[in-house]
Amino acid sequence: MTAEDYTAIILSLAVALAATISVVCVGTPIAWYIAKKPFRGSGLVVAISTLPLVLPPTVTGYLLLEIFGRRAIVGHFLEQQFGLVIVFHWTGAVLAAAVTSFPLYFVSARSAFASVDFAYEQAARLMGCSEWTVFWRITLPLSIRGLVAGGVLGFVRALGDFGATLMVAGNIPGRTRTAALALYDATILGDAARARSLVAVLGAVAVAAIWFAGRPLSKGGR
Amino acid sequence: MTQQVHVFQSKICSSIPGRFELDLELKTNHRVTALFGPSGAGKTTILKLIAGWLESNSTVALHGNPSGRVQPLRDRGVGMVYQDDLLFPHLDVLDNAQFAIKYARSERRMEPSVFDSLCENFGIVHLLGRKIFNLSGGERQRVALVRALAAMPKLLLCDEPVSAVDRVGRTELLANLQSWTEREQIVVIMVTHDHDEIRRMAGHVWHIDAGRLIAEGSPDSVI
Repeated sequence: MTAEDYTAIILSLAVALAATISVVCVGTPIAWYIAKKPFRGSGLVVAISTLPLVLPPTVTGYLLLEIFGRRAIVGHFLEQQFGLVIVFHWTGAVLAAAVTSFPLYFVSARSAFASVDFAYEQAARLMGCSEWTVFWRITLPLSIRGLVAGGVLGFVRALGDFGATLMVAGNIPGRTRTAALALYDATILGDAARARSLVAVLGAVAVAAIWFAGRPLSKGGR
Repeated sequence: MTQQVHVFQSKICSSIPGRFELDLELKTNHRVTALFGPSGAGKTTILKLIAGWLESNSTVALHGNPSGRVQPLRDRGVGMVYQDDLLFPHLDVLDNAQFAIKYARSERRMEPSVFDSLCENFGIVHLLGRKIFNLSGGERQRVALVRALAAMPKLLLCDEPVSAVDRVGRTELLANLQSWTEREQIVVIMVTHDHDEIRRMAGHVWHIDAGRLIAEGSPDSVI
């Protein structure tokens, strides 16, 4: 592997981590709300949230360009107000990875929250606990396995994203070239040794992540 | 002084068959009121209505507070002991028993010394370090009683609180419950099928069938 490939692997891990953190922060409250307080129209929110799972990644990437491109409404606003350019930038890679991995976390988290027996939460409320305490002390510990599993799936999906990342962030060595893109380059250039090394690294990280998600939790899980 | 608990409901959610039409009055000159009736009569539903678990068009006025305002569960001052105990599976015995002390709003936090005597009263001191899944059914019910009482309720709702205990243990556990609720001036509504228990514990009985009050009065006049 070249120094550039190591950079690509580190960039991939950083992008996947940043995307997973964003997905957990945004997805957890939405999943909790939909699971615990369904409302008219929550089906539509679920459908939109899971759309990136079924759309071709290039379509997701194209839609993100339509929203966050420099001439698009949101993209233009971000650049004017905050000097933030998403396209052809590592933040674009994070955005693409976050959007494509969001459904995997959201679906797991929603089902984990829904599986927590309402009676436990009511029992805690009746003992004088606030909604905040009920969430942190009852709902979250009882659903943590599902949340961790969803987070790991989301991380692995973010790590492996190709299409959406390429559309939004491009393939700039040292800046937006993630390991999945570097693997594509190595394959196109016929460099089998490099390609195999990248496959081994990406595969090992994915296997380690799945093992981590499946191991028993020492405390807090069921 | 008479505290009143009025429960009135004309209709509740359709997932529960039948209609409830109840207007119950609870007088605190009877420390324990028994809720008695055949299976499926709606006894647990009535407890959940009083506790505020079920969304319905019922009006529940607790502790002499006649307002129809729906109080959040945490402000009701009601404790509940469940038929299937509902001990939190991710916490050990101590954390379950102390749940309200650790996490409830401050005015419902029991003094540590009082909590210690509560644990002694119910004989769970030796269980405090154990995991919930290592307890027997009777032990679980003791812990559930301690957990509910540690939240310092004014009204305790018990849904067959000693059903998993043998007859000897049952008498002892009910005696523990009686002594604690007398000491702390807690009013109890207790679902039970056992006539002896009703005669021993209750000053007043509500006989419920198909969601309606069939009879009420002293134990001897009702059963």
